[in-house]
Amino acid sequence: MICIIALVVFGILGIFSLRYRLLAVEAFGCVLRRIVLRPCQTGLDERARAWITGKIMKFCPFCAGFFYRRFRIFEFALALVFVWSIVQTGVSGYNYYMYGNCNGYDASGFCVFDPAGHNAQFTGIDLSCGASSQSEKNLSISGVNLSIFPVLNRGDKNNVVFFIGCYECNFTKETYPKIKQLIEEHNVTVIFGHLPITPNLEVFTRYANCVYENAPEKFNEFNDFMFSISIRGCSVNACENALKSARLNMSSYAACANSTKIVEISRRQEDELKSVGVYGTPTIFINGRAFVGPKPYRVYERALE
Amino acid sequence: MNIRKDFPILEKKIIYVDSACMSLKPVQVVRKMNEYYTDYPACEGRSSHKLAVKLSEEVYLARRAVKKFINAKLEKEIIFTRNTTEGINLVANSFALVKGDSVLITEKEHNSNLVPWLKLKEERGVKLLILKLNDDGSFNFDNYKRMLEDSSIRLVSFCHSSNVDGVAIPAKEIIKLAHDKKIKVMLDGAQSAPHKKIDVQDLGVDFFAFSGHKMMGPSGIGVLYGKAVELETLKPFIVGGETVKNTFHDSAVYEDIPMKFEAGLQNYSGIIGLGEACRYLSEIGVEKIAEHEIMLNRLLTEKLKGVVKIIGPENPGLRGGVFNFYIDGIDMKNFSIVLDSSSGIMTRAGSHCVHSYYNARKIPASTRISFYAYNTEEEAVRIADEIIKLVKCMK
Repeated sequence: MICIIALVVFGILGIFSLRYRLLAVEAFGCVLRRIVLRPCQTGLDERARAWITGKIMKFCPFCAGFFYRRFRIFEFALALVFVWSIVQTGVSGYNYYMYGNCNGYDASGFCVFDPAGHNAQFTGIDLSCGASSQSEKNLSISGVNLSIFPVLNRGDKNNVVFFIGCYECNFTKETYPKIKQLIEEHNVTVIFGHLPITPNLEVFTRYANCVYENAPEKFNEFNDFMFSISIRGCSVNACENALKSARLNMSSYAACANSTKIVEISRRQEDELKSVGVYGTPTIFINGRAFVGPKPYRVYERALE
Repeated sequence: MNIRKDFPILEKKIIYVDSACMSLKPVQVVRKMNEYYTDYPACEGRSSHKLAVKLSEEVYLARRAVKKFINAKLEKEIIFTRNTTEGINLVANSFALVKGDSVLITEKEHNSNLVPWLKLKEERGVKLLILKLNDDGSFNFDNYKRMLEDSSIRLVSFCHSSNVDGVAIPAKEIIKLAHDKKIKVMLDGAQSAPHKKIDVQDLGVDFFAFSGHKMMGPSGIGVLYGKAVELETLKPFIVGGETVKNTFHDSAVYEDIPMKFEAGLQNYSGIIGLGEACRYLSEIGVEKIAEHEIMLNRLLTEKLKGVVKIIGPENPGLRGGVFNFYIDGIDMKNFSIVLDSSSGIMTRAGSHCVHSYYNARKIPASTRISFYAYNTEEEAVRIADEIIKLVKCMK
């Protein structure tokens, strides 16, 4: 049994050292024999047993004796744990590939492939009555009136992305280019919901709605600018610059942002987002499935039809 | 014996007791070997420049040191080989043995003094006779005398001291009995030369083979001693450069001994190192070394009596520096690894290249402790303590 472990361990170490390469070859021969139910002839398992016993002997002779006599049990247990951990590693790799998280969809915890937990980070939002428990599974857009939100791209109706983010959220900024890539490569339909992470950012929602209402063809330019700049705190100047970038007139938009219609649309949008139960930005729904935090592009891509 | 400073490796936390396999080398030997590569890395006996002349001088001095070490009569009786195995093979292949001739060996021979004869048996139809020893590994003269009555025996080839139990055979008596029957005798001196005072003239032995690496010399160098008169009659085994005086397209005129047996460029560094090892051992005194080893063996034997099963006679005085043992129910190969891994005690485990002996006695493997001049009483005590501790643990 220990030959299997030795094969993998020495196989990896053997990449860097000839000494381990020879042991790996020995372990390989041993494994081949065990596969056909013949005893291992190299004595690798016995040497490992003796070597480990000797090391334990240095600080605990009793433990060494215990280990030596019950080696077969330890060997079996170790092999089981090893196989289990190999399977888990495989599953983790799969999860990371599929969901950007080793622990699977809607899971947190340490991930060796993403040690900083970057893919699971998001900017938290407290929408009081809206936020429920922090779980992607609890998020749903069924019943949400998506028609009141600006559309970034009208593309494939079978692949609808509802992109909820805030202009001031760094994780949303990081995700935005991936959404644009989805549009470019898969021509998905993308609906954008601006969700201010703090109440004083609500003004941006109104400006975005104004642009979308009055010059929808400029909405992408406006968004590009807003996601490209660093906004420190709430500033109407940011919107002014974004409008300038989209070659729109600030004075007329200032009036628009305060108009009853826009205020009403923005309020309705906020209510809809509250009903979704979003607890952080960015939250991306791809064909109804929620992803919170900036996931790798492939994760979004795989969620498409 | 205050020589440990000559072995820098002993400053590490190790207890080296595998000297029957490979001895440690003192700095003097290593220095002398390096001297060849740094000061006169030339060809011997061919070129005539200063470096070559210096090398020839050093090789001569080494041959003389070896001659003195085993008290051979003439320098030309010393043939440099790679090791004991090659020396025995040289005799096996050069001694005029034909179909129907017999070679007598003991049941406790190292493979190097068994396999060459098995090969001759297969190839030339030479008979191989096996002498049964006493149960404790000591020599059985009755059996020997009885076997010598076989008139087909042309050569007796015995190990002088066994690597299994350290027991030395009464060589002088054995050789005399063989000579009385006009039978030549070869001794495998791999284990005796490093630990016993060898006097080939006094022994009267015809051939005596030994290795450098077991006697604090370099590896890859050995010696075959042969009485000049015997060597003259042997045909060369490996031939080529330096083994001939002249060649024609249809014949060759062979060199005199020892040259005719030393084909091609030699292991000069090894030869010079071996010469230095002989001088080093002679300076300490081989008899003194033997006494020291027996003292250590006695210490170990007393402490481990009843704990382990010793291979060979109980009396450590008969076993020299070898303490070979096994414990029922314990895999001795594992035992050796644990000894090394837990306490840095370096032993050897297995059948020690004497598979035939182990197979006959149904002993799967044993652990051999072999002392040498650089081992100490403290080490012997520590070894005994560790073995006792381990036996408790592993049983």
